[in-house]
Amino acid sequence: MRKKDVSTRVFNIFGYSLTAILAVLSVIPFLMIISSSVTAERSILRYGYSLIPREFSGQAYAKIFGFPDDVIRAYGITIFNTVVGTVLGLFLTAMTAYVLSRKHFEWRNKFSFLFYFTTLFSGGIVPWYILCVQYLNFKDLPLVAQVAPYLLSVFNIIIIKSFMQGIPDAITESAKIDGAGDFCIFIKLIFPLSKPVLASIALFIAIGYWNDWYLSFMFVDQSRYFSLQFYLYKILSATEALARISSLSGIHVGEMPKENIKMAMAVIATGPIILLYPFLQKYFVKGLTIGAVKG
Amino acid sequence: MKRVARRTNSVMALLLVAVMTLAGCGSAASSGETTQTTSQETTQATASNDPIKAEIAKGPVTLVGYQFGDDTVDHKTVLAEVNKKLEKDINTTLDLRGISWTDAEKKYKLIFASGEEFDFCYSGAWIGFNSVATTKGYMPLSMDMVKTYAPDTFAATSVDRWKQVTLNGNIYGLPNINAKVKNVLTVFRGDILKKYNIATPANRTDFVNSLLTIAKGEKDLLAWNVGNAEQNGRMRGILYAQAKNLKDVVSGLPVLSVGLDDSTFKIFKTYEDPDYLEYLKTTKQLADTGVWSKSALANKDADENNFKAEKSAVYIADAFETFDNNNAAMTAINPDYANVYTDINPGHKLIPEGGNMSLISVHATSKHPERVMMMFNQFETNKEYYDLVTYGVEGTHYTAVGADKYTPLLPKFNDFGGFTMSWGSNNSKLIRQKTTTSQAEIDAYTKSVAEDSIETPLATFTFDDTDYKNEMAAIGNVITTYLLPIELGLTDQAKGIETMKAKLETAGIEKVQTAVQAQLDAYVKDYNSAK
Amino acid sequence: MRSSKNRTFFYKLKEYKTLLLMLSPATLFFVLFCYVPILGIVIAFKRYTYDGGIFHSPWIGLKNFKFMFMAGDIFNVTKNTLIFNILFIIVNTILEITCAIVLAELSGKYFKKITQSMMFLPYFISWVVVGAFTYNVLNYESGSINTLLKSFQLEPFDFYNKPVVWILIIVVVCAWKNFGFGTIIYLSAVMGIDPEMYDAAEIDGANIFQRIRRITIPTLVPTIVILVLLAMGNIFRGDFSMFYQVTGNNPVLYSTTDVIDTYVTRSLITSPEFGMTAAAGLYQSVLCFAIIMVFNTLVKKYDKDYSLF
Repeated sequence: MRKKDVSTRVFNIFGYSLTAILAVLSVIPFLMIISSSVTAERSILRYGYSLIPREFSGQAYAKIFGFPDDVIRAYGITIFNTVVGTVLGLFLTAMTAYVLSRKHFEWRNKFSFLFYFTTLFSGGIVPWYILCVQYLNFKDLPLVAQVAPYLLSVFNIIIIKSFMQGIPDAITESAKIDGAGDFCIFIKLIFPLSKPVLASIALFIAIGYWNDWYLSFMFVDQSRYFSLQFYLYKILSATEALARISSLSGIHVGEMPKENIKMAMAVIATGPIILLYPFLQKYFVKGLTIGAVKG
Repeated sequence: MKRVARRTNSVMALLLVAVMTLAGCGSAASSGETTQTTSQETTQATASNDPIKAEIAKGPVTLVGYQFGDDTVDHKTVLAEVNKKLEKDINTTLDLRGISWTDAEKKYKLIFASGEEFDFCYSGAWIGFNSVATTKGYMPLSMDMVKTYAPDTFAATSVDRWKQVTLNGNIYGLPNINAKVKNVLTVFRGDILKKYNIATPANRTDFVNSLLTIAKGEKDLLAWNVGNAEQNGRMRGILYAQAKNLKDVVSGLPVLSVGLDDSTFKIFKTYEDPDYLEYLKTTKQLADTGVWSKSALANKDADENNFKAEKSAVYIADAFETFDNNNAAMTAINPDYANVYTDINPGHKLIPEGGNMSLISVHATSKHPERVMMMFNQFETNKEYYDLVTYGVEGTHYTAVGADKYTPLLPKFNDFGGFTMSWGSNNSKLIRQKTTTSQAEIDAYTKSVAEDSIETPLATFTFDDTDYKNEMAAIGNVITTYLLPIELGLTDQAKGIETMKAKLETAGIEKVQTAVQAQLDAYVKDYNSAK
Repeated sequence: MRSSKNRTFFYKLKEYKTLLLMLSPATLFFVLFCYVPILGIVIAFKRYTYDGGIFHSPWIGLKNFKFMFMAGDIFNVTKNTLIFNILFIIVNTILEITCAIVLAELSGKYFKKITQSMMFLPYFISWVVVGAFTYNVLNYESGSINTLLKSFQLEPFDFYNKPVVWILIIVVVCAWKNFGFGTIIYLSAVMGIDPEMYDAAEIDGANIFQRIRRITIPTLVPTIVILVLLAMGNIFRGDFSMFYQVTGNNPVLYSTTDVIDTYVTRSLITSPEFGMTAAAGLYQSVLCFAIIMVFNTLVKKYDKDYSLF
C-alpha cells in the first residue's frame, strides 16, 4: 500500500475530476439518444432533443419491432461480419506486424513502405469498385464482400509492430537457441505477450466491422444481407437524401423517417458492441511483458 | 385573379402535380396520324412475321433493372404478381433492384462504371441523362425498334417527346408518355391568419406583409422556417422568378436565367437584374424582422417539416400529395390549424416537364433491349399492368373506383406506394386520382394548367458541359458559397454580391454564359425548324 | 559482382522463407485491393466514358485538376485542412495521453472501468446525429446555450455567423468523439511498463508527477511518434462527414471550416466526374506523400525504430 503524500492527493483530485467530467460529457449525448428514442415524435420536433423525455412514447420501438425480421437478420449479418472479420483480421494483422518487427529481417522497411504507401495513394473508388464487382464477383458473395476488404489495415499493423518492437530481444533469443522457428515464436511467445495491444486492436477491428455500412452500400443488392449499420445509415441520411432527390427530380418521394425512429435505430444498432470494451478490459494487465522475461 | 385561395378541407389541391397531355400543343396533328397507322398495323399483325411473337418464341428471359429507392412494403409480393403476368404474356421475368436513396447519384454512376450486367434503369435529366448517354452508358435505340417492340407506347407518345430523348440522332430511352406540370404554392396555417386578421394573401406584397406581421407578433413561432434546403431556390422562385416568368437555363446554375416571354432567348445574369436586387431587399427585410432563424443556414430541416412540427406558420408545397397529407395531419392535432393555400403569383407561366426529365433507358450492354421495350410497352399502356406497378395489388393495397379513381387501403408509411421505376413510365390516361379528391377541383386545376402552360424549347434544353466541366465545378462552388447567405439576408448583401461577382468572373461565368447562349440558340433554331 | 548479389538475394530468400510466407497473406491483400486498383489512378488524366472504361477513355492531360485552382479557393481550403489537422493532432494527443496516464494511475477499479467505457461512447455516435445535436445546442433562437444566456438576461450569441468560433467548436467536437479511441492505444502502452521501475522510483523518493515525467512519458515516446506520424500521413485529408454535419454545411462558415474534401464534394455535386474526383484525391495524396517522406526521414535520423518504414 502506497502512502498518500500530497502530490498523490493532488494527482488523485485532478485525475478523478478529469475522468469524471470527460465521462459525463461522453455519456450525455448518448443518454439524449436513448431518451429521444422513447419520446413522442411531436415533442422532439417541437422542443428538440432532451435528456428526459417530455412525452413518453414507445412507438418507435413498436414500429421497428413490428416487423422484427429485418432487424434480427441484420443483427445476424453484422455479428457474422464482426466475429469472422475480427478473428481473421487480428491474426493476420498480428502475424504481419510480427514479421515487420523482426530486426533481423532486412527487408522489413521495404515491406513496411509497400504497405504504408497504400494509405497515401489509391486509385479511388471507381477502379476498386470495378475490381470488386467485375473480377472478384462481390455482388454474388455478400458475406465475403462485407468482410474481405477490411481484413487488414496499415494503421493496426503499425501499432502492433511498434508494440512488438518493444518486447525485449532476450525473450526470442532464448527460444531461438532452443531451435524454435519464427512462426513458432510468434504463436507461442509474441502473440500471448502482446495481449494488451492485441486486445485494443481487436476492439478496433471489431468496431470497424460493427460500424461499417459502406460495404453493404457498395456491394449488397439483396436486403437480407444488409448490415445493421447500413439500415441505420439509410435512416439517418434519408431526410437529406430524399429532400435532395425530390428537389432535383421534381418528384415527390416517400416518407421522411421520424426522429424517434432514427434514434431508436441508433440505440439498436449500437447495441451489444458497447459491452465488448468492458469485456476486453481484463486484458489490459500491467507488466505482462516484463514478467515473461523473468519467468 | 381567377384563382382565389380557399380553405381546403373540402379537398384538392393546390399544387398538385397534375399531369396533362401535350396533345393540345403544336405538333400533335402530325404525330396523331403516324400513331394511328402504327397501332392499326400492330393489331393487324399476323403471327407468321410478327417480330414480337418471334421474340417471345426465343425463350424465357430475366430482365435486370434498377430503380431508385429501397424496396417498399410488399415489393416482393407485387413483383411476383407482375412476373406472373409477364411470364404469361411475353415470357419474361423482371428482377427489379433498388438504388438506396442515400448517395443514390453516386451509386447510379458507379453501377454503369462497374460494367455490371443489367438491362434497363430509370433515367432523367436530373440524374445526368445527357452525360450518361454521351459517355455511352445507355444503349442507342432506333425509332424502328421502338415501333416494332413497343408499338402502343410509340403510338401514345407524341413525336416531340421522342425528340426530347434523342441525342445525336439516337433515342436513349422511352420517355413518360405525357408531360407533368408542376406548380408551387404557399401554405399558411389557418389559425395564425385568423389571429392576425390577415386576408389570404393573393400577391407577393400581401405575402411579404403577412410574413412580417406574423414575425412581429409571434414569439415562439417562426413565420417561415426556411433553411439550407433553400439551396433549391423555391423562395427565389415564388418571390422573383415566377413573377417575372423566368427559368434557370441550366439546372444547378441559378444565376443564369432566361425570360419565358423573350422570343430571342437572351440569357442574363440574375444578379445584374434590378428586380433581383429588389428581391434581395425584400429578403433582407424578412430576415431582419426575424421571419426565419438567424441560424437558417445550418438548418437542414425543410420548411415543411418545421411547419408540421408546429414551429412555423408558412411553407411551400410542391406536390398536391404533401399538402393533402400535411393538412390532414395538422387538423388532427388541432382543427383550427386547417391549412390555407394560395398562389401568390396567379397566372404565371407553367412549363411542362420535358421528355428527358423522367424516362426508362436501356443499358448499353443489355442483351435484351427488345424485351425491355416489350415490357414497358405493357407497363405504360396496359391498364392492368399500370395499376399493378403504380398502385399495387387491388384488394390489398387499393380499391379501384371506376376507371380513374382509387382508395388506398393502407396508411401511407406502410403502403406499397408503387415502383419508383414508374416515374419514368407515366401515362396520364391511365392515372387514378384518390377518391377523396373532388372532380371539380381536378377539372379546375387541369384547366388552369392548360391555360398557363406554355411550350418552350427551354423545357428540354440541356447544356452540354463536356468542355466546361472545370468552369461548372468552380462556378457551382461559388454559388453554393455565396448565393444562399445573400438570398437569406444573413450577410451584407451588397458586399456579398460584389464578392460573388468577382469570384464568378474568375471561375469563368462569361465563358459559360457565351457557351450556353450559343448552344441554346442552336437548340432553339433546331427546335423551331423541326416544327 | 552481379551473380554474388543474386546469390545473397537467394540466400536471404531462403533464410527468410518462413517470414516471407507469414507475410504473404498481407502482401496478397495489399496487392489485390490496393496495388491493382491503383493503376486506375490514370482516370485523373482522362475523361471517363462508360464504353472506354479505365484504360480506353480518352486522355485529357491535366484538365481534371483545373477546377480546383480556378476560383482560387484551393489554397485557403488546403490551409484550413492543414491547420485543423495540426490542431487535432496536438489537442487529441495531449488529451489522450493525459487520460491514459490518469486512468492507469487511479486506484478505484470500478470507477476506472466504468468511466473508461463511458469515454468510448461518443465514438459510436454517427456524425449525422452529432450534427443534429450541435444545432440543438447552438442555434440562435432555441439552442440550449442561447436559452441559458437569455435566462440570465444576456445577449444570445450568433454562433452560426461567427466563422472563427468554429475552429474551436470543431476541434472540441473532434476531440470529444475520438479521445476514447486514442486513449486505449496509449493505455495499452502504459500497461506495458514494468511496475518495478515505478517501485524503484518510489523508493528513490520520487512523487507521482516525477514518476510520470521520468518513466511513463519516456516509455510512451515511441507510441506517440508512431501515432503522430500516422496522423501526418493524412494531414491533407479531412473527414467529410464531420465538417459537413457539424457545421450544418453552412456557407457563412466556409472561410474557416471548409476543407479539401468538403470543397471538392461541393464543386462536383452538380456535375460529377470520376476523373475530377480522382484528380482531387491525387492532389491530396501528393501533398501527404511529401509531408510523410520528410517527417519519416527526420524521425529515422533520430531513431530508426520509431519510423514508419
